Amino acid sequence: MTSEALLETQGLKKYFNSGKSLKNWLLREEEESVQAVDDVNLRVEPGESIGVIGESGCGKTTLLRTLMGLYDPTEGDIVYDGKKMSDFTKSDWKAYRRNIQIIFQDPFNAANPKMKVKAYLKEPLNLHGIPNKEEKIRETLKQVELRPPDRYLNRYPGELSGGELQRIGIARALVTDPDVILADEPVSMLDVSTQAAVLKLLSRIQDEYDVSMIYISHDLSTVSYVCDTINVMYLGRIVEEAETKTLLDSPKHPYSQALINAIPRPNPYSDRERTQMEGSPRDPVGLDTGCRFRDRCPERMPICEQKPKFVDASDPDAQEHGVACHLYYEHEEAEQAMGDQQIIGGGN
Amino acid sequence: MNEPLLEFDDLTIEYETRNGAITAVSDASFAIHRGEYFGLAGESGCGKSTAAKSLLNILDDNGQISSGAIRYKGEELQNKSEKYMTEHIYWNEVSYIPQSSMDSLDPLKKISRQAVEIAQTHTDMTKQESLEKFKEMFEIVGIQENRIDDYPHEFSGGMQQRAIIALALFLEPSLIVADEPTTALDVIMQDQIFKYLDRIKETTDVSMILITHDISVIFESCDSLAIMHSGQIAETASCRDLFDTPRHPYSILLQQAFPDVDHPDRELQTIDGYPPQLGEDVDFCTFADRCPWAVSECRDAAPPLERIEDSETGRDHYAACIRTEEVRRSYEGDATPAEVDNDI
Repeated sequence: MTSEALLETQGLKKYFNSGKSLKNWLLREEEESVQAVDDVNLRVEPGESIGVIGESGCGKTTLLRTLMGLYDPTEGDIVYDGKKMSDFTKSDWKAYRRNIQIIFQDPFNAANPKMKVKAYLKEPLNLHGIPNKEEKIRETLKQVELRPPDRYLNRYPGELSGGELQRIGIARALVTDPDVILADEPVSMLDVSTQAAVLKLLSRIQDEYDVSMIYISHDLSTVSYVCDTINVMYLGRIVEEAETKTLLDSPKHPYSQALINAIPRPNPYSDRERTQMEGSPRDPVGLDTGCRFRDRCPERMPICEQKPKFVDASDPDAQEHGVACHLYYEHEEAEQAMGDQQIIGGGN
Repeated sequence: MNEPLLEFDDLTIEYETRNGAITAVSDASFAIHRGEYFGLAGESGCGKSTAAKSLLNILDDNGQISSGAIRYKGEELQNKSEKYMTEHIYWNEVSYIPQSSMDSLDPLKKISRQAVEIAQTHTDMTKQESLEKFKEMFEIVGIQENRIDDYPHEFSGGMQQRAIIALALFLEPSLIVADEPTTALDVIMQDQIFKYLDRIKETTDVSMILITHDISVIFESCDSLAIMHSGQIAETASCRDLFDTPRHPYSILLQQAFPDVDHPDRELQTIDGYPPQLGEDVDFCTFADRCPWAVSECRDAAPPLERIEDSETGRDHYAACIRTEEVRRSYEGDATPAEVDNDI
């Protein structure tokens, strides 16, 4: 932890209740909840880009929406620039919404089809009372490599291609000079040839403008082009966190290992073996505290019924490499820790 | 080489629109051999799904084959009626896994009933025989056989996809046409599906056309492929030949644009521009505007698919580029594809 975190989640939890059913009521059962985000600790430093990857249903979109302030956290907090979101005043919220921007997954539906590019980019400037709008819009269009800007200002989204639309989406996120950009699978709807260009653009913007990024995706092969560190998420929990190259070269959590192995390689000589993993992630309703991956895990042990601690499992002299797996710390110590944890009630 | 199982011969497909005809597939030729898994790759809108649909005679109403032939086991299919296709081709000979296949199971019918209906329409198997047979198919795709009486909603996404593959295999067709069969699935699930498709390849002699935008899936799972760009076949070869000695600029750039998780440091190639909108006549190379090697002749005529005589694997290798020689020289000047420069 070299410097102050710009945006941080502290033990963030977001549970959804399925609503109390008649059966629950009759049997006096507690309603079961979906633990979409469970005890997630992320931190982004200024200028840093972190990736969150996981399969569909792992809670990455819920995490993103909670970060945007669209959901109230069930527990835990989000800290931006030293201030807790739960203590935000109205003006804090306004600043937060200006400084945290999002790039959406689907460029074809993100923009208002009846708004010209110029109006679409002007909207956030009006909301936040940013002066020199015309100039700002032109400058931003140049940043996202839509040159000359005049060619695009008076066009409707329907007249642009997917790659151009996603650049407009990026421009809208950039136009308010944000500190942090939340990117939700920004290239998954694009063709390969366009995808490469957008990935490069994101990476360049991140370097040149020193903006932080939280990049959410299911596709590890694209995340690795943009992010400094990667967090692997499984059923609501972060199971592993490491610098991108470290994670790709030597994943530690059995799930990360399976995930990385399952990515097809663009090489007919690849000697990758097909996945040994069976089945799919379990139903996220009514999960217990134990390791979420244990039912599919090849390394399953009795201790896995308990919640794994998030420990630093880095090799000597290597960079920090956090992993939430019982394989990576001593058993007795673990039991001790679990005992303590139950007393104080959660947190890792 | 033996007669191919399926042959596309100079096929052109057009869609009639209010603004005149649009060419979706232009003079496409490629061949698929028995027992071969064949990938058809290209960006969205390049005509790969249209090509597959034309084979099954299920083009949209405004689409039609305007010239060329589709030969399946030597028989021309392009002018056959729907009745003929139903009686002789569908399911028995060629089965189809559509793009949104998750929605292609009838939600109100048990999977077993859907299988029995198919068997009764296309064969004279009894109900009992077809159920027995279908159980075997479930076995092959790794689902417990007692689950054939489930409804589609009782399956997870990956299992539904496997159930559909079981249906596709059910009447022992010679060819399966799979349009983006795993695009909607997560990578681990995708890999599970391909594990079963690998097994099917080992145990049967079925051929498959795998239509996808993801060349890494094709490189890993297919024997050979064709790459399409905006209606034209750019190159067709065995996967290994196309990987080792790509001859069409688009094949080269596409490979280099593809992220590889084993080489996260590699610079990604970008392909500038967008595929053109094609009118009635396609008398130019559709890649010319995006091609760093293009010269004015590229826009004068559609490049013919020419045979490349350096195949290592013995499979036909064709590329549609008039500058393959220059492309080859500049490509081989560099050690690996990754090092080929932007500005050749």
